[in-house]
Amino acid sequence: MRNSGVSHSAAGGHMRDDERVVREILIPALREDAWRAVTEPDGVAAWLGGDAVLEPRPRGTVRCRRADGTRLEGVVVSVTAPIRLVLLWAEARRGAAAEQRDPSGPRLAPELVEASRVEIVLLEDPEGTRLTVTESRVGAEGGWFLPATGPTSALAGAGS
Amino acid sequence: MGPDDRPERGGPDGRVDRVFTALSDPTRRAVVRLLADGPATATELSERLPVSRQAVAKHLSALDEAGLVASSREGREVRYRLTPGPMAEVASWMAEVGAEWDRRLQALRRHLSR
Repeated sequence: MRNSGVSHSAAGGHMRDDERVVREILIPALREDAWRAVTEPDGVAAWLGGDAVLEPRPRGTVRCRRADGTRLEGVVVSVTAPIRLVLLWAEARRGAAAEQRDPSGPRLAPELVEASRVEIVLLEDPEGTRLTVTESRVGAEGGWFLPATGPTSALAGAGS
Repeated sequence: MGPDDRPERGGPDGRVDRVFTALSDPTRRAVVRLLADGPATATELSERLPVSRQAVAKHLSALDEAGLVASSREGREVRYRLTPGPMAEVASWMAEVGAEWDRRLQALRRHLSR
């Protein structure tokens, strides 16, 4: 697996555009099969986690847990099967805490939380499919904040 | 990691490499996340983490060597804070997100290899 995109300056300013993580993987499978694995429930459960949700359509819901149990919630921004999937998500940490305090109350606190943009691109390769993931941090400078009330339609037009 | 990444990550003093090495440990990343909320002592941090105060102190020492945290003595305790600037927080985010994607993509590969 290849890492790249570690391109920020220790001495420089807070360059949001450069805050990104890139991972590339070569999968020994046809692109259509890899796409199905990325987007269909069986595959989603395998790579995003057993209770994860990914609705592969614009404005579809994305929900999963990190290894440490924190929740990520977001929205699908654009889908170009079988090539490209773009989504926005953010940690629902505050929401989880609010939920514990009052399960019947609002699921997430009203604060705004920082979001990430995730782009997954699948390219055909002689040895299978080359899948590249780019996760970029988006914040006030980028104009994208994810309301902590969860995915909203207001986001769905952003970052396609 | 490809060789083409090195010019970005190295630098004259190799600080970026030291930072990423320090943040390769999930407990250290958790410490950085907690310190992002404000300065704390090793005791306070250990109360919020599933590790002992001694273990937290060792992790703080590693973060200190990488230049990610600074300390100041307050009575019998030493209080730690993230060093000014975005480095610690940004690097921690990158290490965390990178580790998550490594895990997810390996799982995807396993799923497709069945």
